[in-house]
Amino acid sequence: MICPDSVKWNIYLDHEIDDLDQAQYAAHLLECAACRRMVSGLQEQNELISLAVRETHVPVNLENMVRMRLAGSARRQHRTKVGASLSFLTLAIILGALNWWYLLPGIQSAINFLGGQTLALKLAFSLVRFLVTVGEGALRGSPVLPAFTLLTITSLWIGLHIKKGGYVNA
Amino acid sequence: MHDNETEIILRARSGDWPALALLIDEYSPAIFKFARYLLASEQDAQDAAADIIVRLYEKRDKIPEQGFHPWLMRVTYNHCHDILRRRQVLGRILPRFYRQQAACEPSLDEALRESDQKALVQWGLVQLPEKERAALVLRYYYQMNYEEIGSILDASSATVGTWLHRGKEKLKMIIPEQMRWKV
Repeated sequence: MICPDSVKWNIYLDHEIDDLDQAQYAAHLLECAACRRMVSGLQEQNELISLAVRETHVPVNLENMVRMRLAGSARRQHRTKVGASLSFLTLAIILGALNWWYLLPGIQSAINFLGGQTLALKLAFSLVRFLVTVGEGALRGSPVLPAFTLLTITSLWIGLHIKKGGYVNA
Repeated sequence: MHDNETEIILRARSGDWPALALLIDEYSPAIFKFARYLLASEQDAQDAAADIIVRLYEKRDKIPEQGFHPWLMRVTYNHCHDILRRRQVLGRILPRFYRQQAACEPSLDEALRESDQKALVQWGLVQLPEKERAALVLRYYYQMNYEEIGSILDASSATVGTWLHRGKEKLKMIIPEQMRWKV
């Protein structure tokens, strides 16, 4: 076997050649002192690179910084959810104020007609899921609480209105 | 990493905070070190590591169950690559500001003052072209094979082999002779 060059020895050391070649290279190493010297130098270089990166200074405050940044991100996500909930509730209140609730059965019939009962059910479940999410948020204690309170007041207000026959007469 | 890595990842994906914290503690230094060599700046690497972890948290449902480490290194590489591209643009628009930033990096004198081969290799690594230094760090620190490195750097195994060889040759050339290992 002719002495392989440093490119091939690098590949050999990185175990990126097939088993047959690996065995041939290993056998060559046993009988060639020049290649042994080269391989030993390459190994030393590889170990030194590994050691240099391993001993790279890692700032002590890295984890704190990451955790602080994460907390900020979690707050941002939370605020987005609260914003969406409040927008939904505002829309609900506006619809209520404009006495548009009588449109609901019509919308339901349209969904039934166009998308079938499955879609209507899916939408209903989505609404329930949304309410549960808002409820869970409120239980955790957060800015969601006002949203949940607002939802409760709105529901009570609408319920009261219906009881009085407000929307029936609308 | 722990034996039950897959379980931790699954829990982290579903938003379990302790599992996410475990992943963060385990991988923050790894992300930082890779970013440190790609960006050649400790401060930028720290910011990049924090940004990547935040992205990991926000898109936790995209964390793969298998091959988490190569995936994370790919995310880190892409993030740092974007920063380097922005730096290039910044260098063209605001050359004075860019020079000021570059001057903050440790110099060869500082590395020589350490009179330590490791410090010189650390200095030498950041002098290499982006792909070569990335390949060297991934291979000799993270112990990844050529295929995994290729998937991170978008290259074939043969190209990775070439980058590694060239990187090591250049490292040998740029490190002062008296401090060089004998090959």
